[in-house]
Amino acid sequence: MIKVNINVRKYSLIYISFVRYLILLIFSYAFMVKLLNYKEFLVQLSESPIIPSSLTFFFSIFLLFIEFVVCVLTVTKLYRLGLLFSYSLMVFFTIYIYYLLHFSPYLPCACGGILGNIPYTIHLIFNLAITILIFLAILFDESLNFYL
Amino acid sequence: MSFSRKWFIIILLTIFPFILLIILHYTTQQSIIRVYDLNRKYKRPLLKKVEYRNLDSVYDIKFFRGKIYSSNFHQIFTVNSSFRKIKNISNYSPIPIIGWGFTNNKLIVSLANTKTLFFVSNNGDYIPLVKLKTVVQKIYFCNDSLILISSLDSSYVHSIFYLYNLNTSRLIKLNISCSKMVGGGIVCDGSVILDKTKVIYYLYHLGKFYVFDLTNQNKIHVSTYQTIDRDNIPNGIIRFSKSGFRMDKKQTLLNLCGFYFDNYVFICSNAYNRNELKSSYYFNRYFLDAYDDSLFYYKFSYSIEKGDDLGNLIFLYIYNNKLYSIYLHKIVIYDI
Repeated sequence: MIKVNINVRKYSLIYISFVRYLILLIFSYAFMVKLLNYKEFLVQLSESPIIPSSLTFFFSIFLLFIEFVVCVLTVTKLYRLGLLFSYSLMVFFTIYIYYLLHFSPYLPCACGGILGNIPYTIHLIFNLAITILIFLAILFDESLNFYL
Repeated sequence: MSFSRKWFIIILLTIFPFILLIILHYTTQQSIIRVYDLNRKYKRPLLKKVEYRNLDSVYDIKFFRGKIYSSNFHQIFTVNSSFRKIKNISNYSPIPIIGWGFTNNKLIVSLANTKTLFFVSNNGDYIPLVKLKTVVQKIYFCNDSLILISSLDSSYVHSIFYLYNLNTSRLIKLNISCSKMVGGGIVCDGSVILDKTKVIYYLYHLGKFYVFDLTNQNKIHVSTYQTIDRDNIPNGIIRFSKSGFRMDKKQTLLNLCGFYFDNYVFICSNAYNRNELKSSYYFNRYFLDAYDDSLFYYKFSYSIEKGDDLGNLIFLYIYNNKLYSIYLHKIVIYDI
């Protein structure tokens, strides 16, 4: 019984580590692409139907900051906070893509690089998959029970 | 206890993005409606007319190295300051010239319904420069490059964009296309404003700007902006038929011209609201709607005269802080 528990815990930790590095990969890539093409990112953000033009700059900085924070958190002991932040962020990105697909007359996406070029439905599925992976990582992380 | 607290945090983190999106949705709905103000609340006075000259078959004007050039759709020639013809630059072309401009000391010409671009030799002949797979519909000059709008079909519904670099002779098909279709009808009012590194292609009733930014010769950045809430355009502008939308017959040859000045993009507009359509005050003016050049939001409107003796407005040009408005047989110069 104890052996089974140790195995479950071991696989949970492997899974959580996998999700941590996946988050790190995705968010650092998104952060770098946005930072390197900041002007383009700003223009794309300004095209967003739900972000007021007066707040475009603020949103761009806020997004960059939060993506950077998530990247840093996932590689530190505070990775649990990184999981929670990234989960909330991914939920937002997913429903934002859904919103664009169903309610917006046009489809501007401020995601840079590869993500910016894939079709919106695939983008939505990708976001949903990542959100579920993070959600499961939060569920499996037993230490998060004590942490919270 | 801690598990339920964990679920509480998860539920909170899931709900929070929804709340944020709902707040953003409702706050921006108000600003979207303000993007294009069809009531033209920000009207400015009629521009002051400074000169008024008769023309002989001049359709557009270009300034290049201190000389003024013009065309009559079949020939390109130099004109004097009174816009009288001085000297032919190109030979007579039976096929109408739809686009022309100077770049690298070459006069590049595009002829209607042809798949070839030409340059004009010293003796005025049209020498083939580059051949495309599709018919060139419009041609715009951007530094050493040309932006070509090509039509995939004879009805000009589907357009694709090319970039041709004159230095490298490279022809690049841009990864964008546009459909000039609104609910089954064709929107025929594409318009373009030029800057040295920017070409702004404008489709009025689709409310869409395409901005081609050529800051780097090897890379072109294309952005699109949706500015007009098309549902707000009054019925007087577009009438509905079985085949879809059509421009009102009374307001045809407009929205074809625009210009870039003082960080504003000006579009000559034929979008009048119902009250304006009833009033002779509005009907005797062309409105030049100004949009900011970053987000293309409507800012204000200038207006210029529309007289029976002037004929249709064909072309607008800014030079030395003066607006040159070219009508069928006359040119009127305004202070701006």
